[in-house]
Amino acid sequence: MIIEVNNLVKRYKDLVALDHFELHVEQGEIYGLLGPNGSGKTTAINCMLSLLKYDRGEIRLFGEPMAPDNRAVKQRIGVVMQNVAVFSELTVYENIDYFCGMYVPEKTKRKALVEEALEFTDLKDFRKFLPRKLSGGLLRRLNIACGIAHKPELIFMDEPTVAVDPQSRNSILEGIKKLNKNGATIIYTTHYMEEVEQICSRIMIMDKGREIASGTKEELKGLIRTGEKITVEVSELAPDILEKIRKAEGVLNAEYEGNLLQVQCESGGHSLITLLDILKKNKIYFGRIFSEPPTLNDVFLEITGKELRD
Amino acid sequence: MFWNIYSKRLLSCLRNRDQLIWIWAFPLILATLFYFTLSSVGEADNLKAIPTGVVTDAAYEADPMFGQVLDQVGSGEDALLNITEYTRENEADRDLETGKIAGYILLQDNTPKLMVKQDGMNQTILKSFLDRYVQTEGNIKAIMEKNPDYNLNWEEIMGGASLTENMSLSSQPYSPILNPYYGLIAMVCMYGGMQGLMSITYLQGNLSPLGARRMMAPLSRIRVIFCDMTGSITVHMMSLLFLLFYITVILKVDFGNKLPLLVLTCFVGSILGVAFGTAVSCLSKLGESMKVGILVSVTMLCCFGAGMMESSMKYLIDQKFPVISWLNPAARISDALYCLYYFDDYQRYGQNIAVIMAMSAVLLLLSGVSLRRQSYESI
Repeated sequence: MIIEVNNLVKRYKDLVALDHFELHVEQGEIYGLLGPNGSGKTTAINCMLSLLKYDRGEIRLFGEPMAPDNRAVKQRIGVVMQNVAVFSELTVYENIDYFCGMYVPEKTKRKALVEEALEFTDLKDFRKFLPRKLSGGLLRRLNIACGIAHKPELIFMDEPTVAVDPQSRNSILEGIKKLNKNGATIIYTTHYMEEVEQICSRIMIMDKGREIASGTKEELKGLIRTGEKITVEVSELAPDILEKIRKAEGVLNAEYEGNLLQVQCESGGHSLITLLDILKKNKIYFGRIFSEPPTLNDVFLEITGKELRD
Repeated sequence: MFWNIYSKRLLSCLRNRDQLIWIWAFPLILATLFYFTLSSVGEADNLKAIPTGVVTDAAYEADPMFGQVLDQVGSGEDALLNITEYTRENEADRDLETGKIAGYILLQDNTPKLMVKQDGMNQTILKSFLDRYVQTEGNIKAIMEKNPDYNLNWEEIMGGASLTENMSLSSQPYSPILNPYYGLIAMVCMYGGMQGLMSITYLQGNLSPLGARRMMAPLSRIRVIFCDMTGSITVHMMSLLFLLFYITVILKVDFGNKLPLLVLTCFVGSILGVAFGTAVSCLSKLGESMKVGILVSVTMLCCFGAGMMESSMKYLIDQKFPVISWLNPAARISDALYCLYYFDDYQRYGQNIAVIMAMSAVLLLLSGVSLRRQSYESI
């Protein structure tokens, strides 16, 4: 076990930021912490990194208790902060070299590692640029390069794609997958459910400082009643037929608005066939049909009663 | 590891635009302003003889005592008056009109009268000279009438002979322009606080993301601070040496011939400045901008007390509040420089250096203790 967090409690005066939080991460995982802003993701990471004191609980990294002066453990960790943490007066190369140098004193070894990090983050052409000359996406990549250049075994990534354009985001996510493939265990926090679905092997959904659910994305989706969401283009739909659809077996809810019929189905059923039967029997002509599997937002919505991005 | 942090700190400081302005450019601008402002003070001390006319008519010839006095004050290297004799008053009037003379003296009823065309420094000096003559002449005449046998050397008295003699404690001549420069150097030393403050800000997880990232490195904080500070002090010393070069070589201000000790003073002053910034950063929980505000305000206040803006302020605080003066770091630095220039023995200089080093040690110790105890309630 790379990370063991047991019964962690962190309070800011009256506010409980972490409420008996538990986390267990195996080697080689990309573990996603998903939750809305203020759900305790960053607080959990800061406690794990000993940047924050906590009120109760136990944190063990690589089997050792984590403490601010546990340098042996720190040597094996890389951190990519939510905010870009680089020196504005140093070039891309100098920044990576600086942070890598705090872990790797040998100059020749470090040089190779910095080159590798530049290659990995595709920043080779920008090595002499000062951070202020970089775009938001490139700056995020520099932030990542500074955190991973020394080849850590465990990487904490706290919302590394905030305010990044889709193209750069994809590039960053691909990079994270590559890091994992090379052997790094990654803790990844975000409030973008698409990202965790795309890269994480296991996910924990958090709210109000506690775990709401955890598991693989399939396991999480299996926890809820909501199944696929079917959308059908219908030119006209009488209220009595809409009512029939709502009462059909396996249908949780149905809405008709702007020529679109949206039907929320229970998981595990054959609702699409049932729905099409109803439409045919009532001689309702329909156009295109879309079917979407449930998302993590649906999981969050069903468990907490609110949207993930509230 | 040391070189990695040290060299990057050097680069970072040298490329920082704010620091370039406040630590490099601003002191040079102030030094230049001082140069132009204070050079006129030096000139004012070297008064030129005042061009003065005297009408040598019959009344003048009848008062030989006045003629002798004029001869005395109008001769020699440090002559007060540059006398031009006119046989007629209208000739003197003509030169007064054209500005060739500041005024002329005419004897009427055995009393010298001053004729001037305008008010001014020279006219005021002439007026006070004649007032003194009239008063002293009256006193002498009264004494001689009462004691005709008394051997009074009235010529010497009228000539302004003094019964006291100026003695200098120093081998260096007094220079009224040096104090502001000393205050300026003290200010730049104190500006080292910016460097100390930035070092700590970049090492405190609750103040900057950079601080959080650096705290995650497997290095002791004291070690990182040491490397950082060495870099900061190096850059700061470079800026101080550059300022010294500018003042002494370009502006040609004489700081005496004790250059190694001058550099040593700058060095310990620089350490004190950096330690001061470190302490401000460590000992308060305020945000970065508030800390910078405190640093700048305290620095300017200390420099004011050290006589940078008004030379007499340092003397006043030394006299009225000696403890405050000894606790004022800028005053200690400027006083050390003052001692180096004026005093041949090193006792007071040594005391100043000892106080500066003690202050630095205390500030660094407090900072170290505070850093070790620090935990962040909110990041």
